Amino acid sequence: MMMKQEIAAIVILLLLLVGSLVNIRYLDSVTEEMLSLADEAMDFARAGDFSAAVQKAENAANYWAELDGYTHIFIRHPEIDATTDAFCELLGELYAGDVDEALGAHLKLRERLLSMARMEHITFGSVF
Amino acid sequence: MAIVFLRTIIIYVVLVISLRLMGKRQLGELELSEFVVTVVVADLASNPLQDIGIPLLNGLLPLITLLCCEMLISCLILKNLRFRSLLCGKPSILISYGEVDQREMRKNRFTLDELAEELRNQSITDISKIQFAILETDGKLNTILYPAEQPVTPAQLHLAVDDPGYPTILINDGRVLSDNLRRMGRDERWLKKELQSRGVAAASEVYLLTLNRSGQIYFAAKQR
Repeated sequence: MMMKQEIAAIVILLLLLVGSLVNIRYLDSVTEEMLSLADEAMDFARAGDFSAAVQKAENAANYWAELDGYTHIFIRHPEIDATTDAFCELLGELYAGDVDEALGAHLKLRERLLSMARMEHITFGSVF
Repeated sequence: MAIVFLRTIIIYVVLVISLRLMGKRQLGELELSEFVVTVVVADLASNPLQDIGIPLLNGLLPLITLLCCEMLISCLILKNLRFRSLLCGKPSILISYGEVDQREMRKNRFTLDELAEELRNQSITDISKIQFAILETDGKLNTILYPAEQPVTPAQLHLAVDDPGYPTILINDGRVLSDNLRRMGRDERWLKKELQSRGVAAASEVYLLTLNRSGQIYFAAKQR
């Protein structure tokens, strides 16, 4: 018969596992939200509407800033800094009204966000 | 700086609790799984302490996971003989009836020098006096001498032996241990009398004072 300690150990391990899976789903959903805002910003920029593009990009950056409590607990701090830099770069290019430069900054931001989400996914590559 | 300080306190508390829950053996004789956990835990704990770029959760999560795994494996080792021998191995008999089992020695990668060293540690120089030498799963070598080579006990000589009992510490570096004093059926008055008879005015001048069940006292005054 199992003792209370062993049952508690199993329960904790299960909770950690479920918590990890919930965290992956949550990170996926927030990444998707930020990506869609950044993509919309780029669509406006391509159409020449830089004020709308800046508005969307600022919304994405604010959303990222609001996640501060979560990101500092769950994500490595150099990753957070790199993503924040990518947001600033995109905003800078949009403020300057340079579509080509903004496109590059947008791609960099996309890659940063996707890589952050991918890192949490349980794949052979991420495990080993 | 404040972050490093807080992280150190949190990791320290979790480590102390983890090692306490793993039991006293964790600090002494280690089985394989326990040894692995001990080695890994030390490294895991130090990483978030040194690098504030790593979330503290990255240090705590593996610690908690390891603790849970260790508890489950300990339970399986306790309840399943097959699992126990699979994980911990089986004791190996290196010397049987005075003869070294060379096959077992090779199997355990135990050299003759190591064997001789272990035997010398146990004050044994003649292998032919050993009935069995067993290499335990925790790496300890236990030896059993032939009955004729074993030390004679008072029982074998039919001698009655007084049991003075375990010496209880009554004064430890100037401090009177009142609980121990009561447990031994003595009081402060008795202690004062004993100290006076040894030319000491107060307990603060005593380094060590012990008393056993037969009333024998060991006394050591503080050196000035």
